[in-house]
Amino acid sequence: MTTGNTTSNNMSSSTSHPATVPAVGACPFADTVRTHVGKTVVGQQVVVERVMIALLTGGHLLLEGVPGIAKTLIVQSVAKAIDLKFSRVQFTIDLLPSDILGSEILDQKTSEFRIHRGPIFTNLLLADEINRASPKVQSALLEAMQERKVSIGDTSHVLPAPFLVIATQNPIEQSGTFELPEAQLDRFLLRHRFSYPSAEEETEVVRRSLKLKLKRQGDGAVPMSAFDAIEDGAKLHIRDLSEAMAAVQNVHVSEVFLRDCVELVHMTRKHPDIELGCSPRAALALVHASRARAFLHGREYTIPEDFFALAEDVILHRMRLSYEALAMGRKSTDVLTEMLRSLA
Amino acid sequence: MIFTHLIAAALAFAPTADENPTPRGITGSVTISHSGDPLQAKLDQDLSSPLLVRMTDLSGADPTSKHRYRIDFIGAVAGSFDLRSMITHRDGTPATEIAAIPVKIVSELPEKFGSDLFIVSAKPLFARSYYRVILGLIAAIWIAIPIFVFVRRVIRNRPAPPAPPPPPAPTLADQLRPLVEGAMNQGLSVPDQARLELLLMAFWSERRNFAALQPAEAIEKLRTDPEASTLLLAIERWLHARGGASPQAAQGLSQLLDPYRGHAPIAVAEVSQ
Repeated sequence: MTTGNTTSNNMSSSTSHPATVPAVGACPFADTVRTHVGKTVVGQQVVVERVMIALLTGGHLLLEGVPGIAKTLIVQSVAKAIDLKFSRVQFTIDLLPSDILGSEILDQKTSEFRIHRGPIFTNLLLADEINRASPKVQSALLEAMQERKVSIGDTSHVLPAPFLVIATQNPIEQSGTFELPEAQLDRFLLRHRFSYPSAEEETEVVRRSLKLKLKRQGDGAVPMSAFDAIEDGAKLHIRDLSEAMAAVQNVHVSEVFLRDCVELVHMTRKHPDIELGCSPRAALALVHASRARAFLHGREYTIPEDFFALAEDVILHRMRLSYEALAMGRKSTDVLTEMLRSLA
Repeated sequence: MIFTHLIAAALAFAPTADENPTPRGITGSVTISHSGDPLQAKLDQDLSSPLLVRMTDLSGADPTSKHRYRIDFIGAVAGSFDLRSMITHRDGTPATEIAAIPVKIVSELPEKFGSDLFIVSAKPLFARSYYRVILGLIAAIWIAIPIFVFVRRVIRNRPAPPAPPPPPAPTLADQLRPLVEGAMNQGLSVPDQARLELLLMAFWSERRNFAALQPAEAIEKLRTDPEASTLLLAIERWLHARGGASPQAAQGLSQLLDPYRGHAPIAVAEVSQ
């Protein structure tokens, strides 16, 4: 098996987010993760940043994008960069809550029940295509996300720390899916939308894939995939992540910044085109995510750029446009931009 | 003649008066025998009279034999009546020679409902008397409705008087000026501080033609803009950094804000260049 050769999958960055990469050295933690992920993934700095924000704040992340844009690869690369336990569950219509949480199994040798822990007992859980599972499974997962513990039989089990769920959704193919209701979407700290990579990025992706070699197994061989090229040697550990989380807690949030965040959330409740405005959880998410972003950019305080950059990922999945606005062809992003511009 | 009548009276049987009272509206009957001139029920009885009577001769065609009559009666009003008053000879003279035929009509309804079947409390509509007036009213309405619709349409289509022009929206400079004054005097509230910062960003975004950019991208570019960043980063530190509102920082900020005081934004930009 060949290692070390960098591969990539295609990546993209949502054009509405500034893809600023902070100066190297501003935040060693972020630099290390970016460097590690960058060996496997081309571009996609914003998504990596969003994953790190979710990790640092203990929030959860919903990634939305068409298939084949390296959602899984990014998450797995980040997990390996920080030496996190990683599980992936492909959600399907016939999935049961016990398939994720675990169940009690009768041990025939001892004639006693023993606990079989499900894939949720991990640090980083990738819930692939979460909208394909039935609402019963979705709510079981979302409850675990909220309480960070699960009940199997009569026993309650605390999930490992850190615990982060990164769920994905395909925004195009909606037949046979169960759309997450607003109350459950609200539990995701951020929802980030992928788009296709730029031509330059895609060229680089293809170029890197040409360098992939064969993976030999006995006498046979298979072509290496991007996943095979993820470096195993983690540069960071959970302890480093905990220290970074503590540093995030020390980032200063001014009264003016709080006012900006709360004002924006209140505007979503008064806007004529919005049927359902944001809950107070949105203001909390905005402030906490901004604090993590400030840390990743090497600042000791949050600034308006933080909430302007994060507003789309924090706000859009927490508000719903009215029927009249949708009929007039209004889009959530346009309404949010309008609110951001009129904030002053 | 008188003799004949006397004989007839003598021969007249006392009527088999119905001792049982008869309900209103229900036909009762009495049978009498009479040997004199043929009898008949009174002609031209009024349908609205309290009592209606009909007589049937039961004795057949032989005029010499004694006649038997069945008297059918219907009472419209409760009370006691004498059927003899409703019987005449064929020549129309009252049959005074026969004995009284008392009948009693009773009402099955409670007393308060009265006893007359033909009393109608509601007044009849005298449409026939006022038909000219009614037709006139209909015609008036027929003409008035189109006129009303026409007039209303004309009034609606009349162009409204032009509204007075709205007062011009305050320019960025107008909004900035009091905030800059307040900042230099260190008398700004938290919402005003936030407005000052965002207005300065809006001002520089406009100045750099960043309207097409997303707000986040515009701010990112402004923070690296050689002109705009000096003030914006100072404002950031002043408002957001821990201990940023120190007197020294405020002093430095006052110097940066001074060009914005009392000048139009364009002039400010030119000064800063």
